[in-house]
Amino acid sequence: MAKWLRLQSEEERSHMLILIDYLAGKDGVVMLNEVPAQLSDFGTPLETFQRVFEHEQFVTNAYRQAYEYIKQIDPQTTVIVLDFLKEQIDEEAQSLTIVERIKLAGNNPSAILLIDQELGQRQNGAPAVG
Amino acid sequence: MVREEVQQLINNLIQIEHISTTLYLAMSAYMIVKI
Repeated sequence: MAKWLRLQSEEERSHMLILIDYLAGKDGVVMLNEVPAQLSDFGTPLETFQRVFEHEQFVTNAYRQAYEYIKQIDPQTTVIVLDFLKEQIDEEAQSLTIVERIKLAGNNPSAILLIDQELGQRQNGAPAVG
Repeated sequence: MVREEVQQLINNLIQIEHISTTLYLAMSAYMIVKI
């Protein structure tokens, strides 16, 4: 689970870099603002991945709103926003699948460890779930 | 030069991805200890 989350972090970073390069390439001013301090305790694996799923829903909503706005004023930027919006379908599906599997595992430590091993097989660009 | 409102919108998305990056890194560090 730790490896899956680490690779997910790297994937989000790659998205950020794409957006930075796009904006800088259009002579825009890139603003990197402060990021809130993160929790040091995310609870159980189920609670952690439920939070992942909820966050992905939040991100999807942000891209959906951005798409609805940008398509009216900038067709070129609409393309990149739409690409990310499409990718959110997979992001939500993957995190929801993990939540459902952890729920099925219940309080069985062996089952949780099996899920942990499965998620540990993830390679960048190819999530180990689905 | 990109339009001001487009620049603002992309910067908002950059910030969201920035937060996501940090959130998942923190979760990963927590899970190393948890499991």
